[in-house]
Amino acid sequence: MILATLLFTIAGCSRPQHQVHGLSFFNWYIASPMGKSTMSVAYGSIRNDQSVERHLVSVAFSCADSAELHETMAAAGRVSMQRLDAVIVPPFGSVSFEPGHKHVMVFGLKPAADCRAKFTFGADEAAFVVPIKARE
Amino acid sequence: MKTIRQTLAIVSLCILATSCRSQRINFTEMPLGLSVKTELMSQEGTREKLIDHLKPVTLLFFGFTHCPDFCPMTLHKIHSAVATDAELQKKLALLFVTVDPQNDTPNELKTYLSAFPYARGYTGKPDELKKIEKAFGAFSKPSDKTISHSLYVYLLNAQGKVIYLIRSDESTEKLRQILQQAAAESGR
Repeated sequence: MILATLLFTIAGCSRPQHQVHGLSFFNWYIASPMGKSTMSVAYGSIRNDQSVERHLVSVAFSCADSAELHETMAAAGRVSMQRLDAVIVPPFGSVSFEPGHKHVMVFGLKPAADCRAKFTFGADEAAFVVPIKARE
Repeated sequence: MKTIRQTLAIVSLCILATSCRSQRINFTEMPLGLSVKTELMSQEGTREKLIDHLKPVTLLFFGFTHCPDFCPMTLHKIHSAVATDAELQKKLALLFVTVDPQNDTPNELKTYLSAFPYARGYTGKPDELKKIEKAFGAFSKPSDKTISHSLYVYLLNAQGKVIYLIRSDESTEKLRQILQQAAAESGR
């Protein structure tokens, strides 16, 4: 609860990249792949300014073949990734996608200066340009 | 009187908690690690004994170059921990052993690790890599477009034996403390 409030406050302090359908998107970027891999990852956060929870069901990028919602799990001395069917953004709360936790896996990333991201929440969509840059 | 005793007890607990937080880590040799014969293909394309590439502070990490989240996060965390300490960087070696020999050629490893001057990548035949994993009590397994692998970064002593297990999701500050202490103790 404290963490959620803190995230909400932090997200609330910075300027969103995009706002639509009561959702605000912050600091989204695709990490430049290390080495020659075309597989990478996207990070950022989403704030829900409404009183109902929202379900993020997919993310797509114009510069990639496909993308999936994933979560890194660390247990029993091992680290693995689990594919998520959806990510819930709680009412008046935020969800962060960050290294070692929830993230968007990006497959078949193509070289591009910028890339158009499309986030799907049921019937609602949010589309905006995200940079491809070195990890923060 | 009772209040004074309670206050003293609380203050003592606080002092104890503070001292525990900054307590030195006890590095202990474990029955895990490299043998003098452990040999793999390095990122330079030559067979090397890993033991010949130990430094005063040596870390060993099992990962793979197509790992999108956890491996880059771990490498960047190690880099952040030593970024402002040139002396520590000079004393540090990071041995990156792939768990994906199918994809990770020496050249792939070299490119992948090029941003980390203290890192050296290793690959090999699947059975020899499995043998090394076993020697570290580690384990890897392909699963749904990725490979699950050991959570730990292994801190080695001058003999290549594991003296401390660092969780990859440890904070940068804690990691820095571990590496600085290891560097200080190596100079004794």
